[in-house]
Amino acid sequence: MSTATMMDPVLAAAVERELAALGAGKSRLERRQRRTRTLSLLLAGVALAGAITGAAAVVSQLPGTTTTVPLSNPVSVTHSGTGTIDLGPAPAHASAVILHIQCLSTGQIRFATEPQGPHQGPSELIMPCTGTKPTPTSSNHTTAKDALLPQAGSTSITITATPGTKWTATASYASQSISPWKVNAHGQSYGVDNKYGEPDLQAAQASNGKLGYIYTKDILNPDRQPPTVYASDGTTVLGHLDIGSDTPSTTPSHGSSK
Amino acid sequence: MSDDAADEAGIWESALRGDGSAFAALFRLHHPRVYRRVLGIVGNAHDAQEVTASAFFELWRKRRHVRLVNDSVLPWLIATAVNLAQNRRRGTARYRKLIDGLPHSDDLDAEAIALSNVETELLGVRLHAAMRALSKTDAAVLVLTALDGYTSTEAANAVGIKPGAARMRLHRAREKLRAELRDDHAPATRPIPEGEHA
Repeated sequence: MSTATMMDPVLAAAVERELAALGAGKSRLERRQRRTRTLSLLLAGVALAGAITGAAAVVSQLPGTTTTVPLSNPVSVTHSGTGTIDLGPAPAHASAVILHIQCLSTGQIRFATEPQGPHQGPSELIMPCTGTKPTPTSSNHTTAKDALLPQAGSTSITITATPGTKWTATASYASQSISPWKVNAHGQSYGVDNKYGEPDLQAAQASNGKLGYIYTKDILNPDRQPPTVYASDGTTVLGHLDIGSDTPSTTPSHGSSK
Repeated sequence: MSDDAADEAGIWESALRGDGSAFAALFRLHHPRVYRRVLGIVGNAHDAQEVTASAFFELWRKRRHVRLVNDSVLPWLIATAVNLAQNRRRGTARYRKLIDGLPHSDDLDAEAIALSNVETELLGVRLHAAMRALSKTDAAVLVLTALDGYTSTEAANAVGIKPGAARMRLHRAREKLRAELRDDHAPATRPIPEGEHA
């Protein structure tokens, strides 16, 4: 086989080093994800600020918002290994299950969730358990607002766990509704991300406190910094996003080839 | 094979715990096959490298949602790479800056790239153009079954759809490809060679 059908060995070695650096706090991928999380927190902060300042109605009406409302009393179960949670008959309009699950030992837990993107089937959330307390690699508890409903003809959801993994969970039926994104005069969608994907412009708060939108492409390419916050028309500048000083390195941190 | 699968399941367990060396091991194990598959779709070495590296970065980013097939992450990687290749401008944008900043061979020259393009053409895999007619999921199901030897049920599992839906998508993808390639000349009428089987 010709080398032309093999990846550039220098680049392949660099990608491998980048992957190997994960988990050690030295990886640019992790640094990048921290920045994205910072941005998510800021977006969540927009909602919180709205709730505190009485602008909650405005924020909860952002186009594309997913609203999840519990429809039944929560059911709690403590179990070891794979087990089920019987939620009883599903109320009308139930479209998902809110599930909070906590590890009580080491092991691994998984459960089915709603699709994670457009045109996809049900997904699965896998949760490594490292004990009862949070660790750098596992929070040991999670809340999913999009766990999958019981299969047709059943009233139970299944939590799959490796043998001996102890867990406790609380679950209830919920209804999920998603408002549609809006479209501006330039044909750009705006609002907040949801299971259908990301609009062209996503809600954000500028460092001057103004609520507006940043381009999704600026989130994907966070090196063009700081992202500009626009009005929903995508052209009127309201300010800039303040996303902290954790900028990604532009200097490759590679050593020599192995 | 079963030993390999058991090994890979063990490596994946470590990867899920955030162990970078496990991701590096999976890259060593699977990147040649993912790269060759992507090269057949995108038709040039530069794009194929970007898509291949991005698929492994996505393996890390989406690790909590990765579906194993026969205890292997390879079908998920191939399906993801096909998705990225189908929408390359946006699909790999997340990692482009990082990948561009990594060291490359200075002499991955025009000749090698041209050779790879010729080889791709000679493989008869002009999927590059024809696959643009397919949705990302249809393309992933088609590649996994037609080129990588997975059953439609395994392909369904890798992309997260029901087996019946996978068979329907496969049928639709074949019909579309047939229509796309019908009027083309020689290479299109050759059977697509099977990929190497593990």
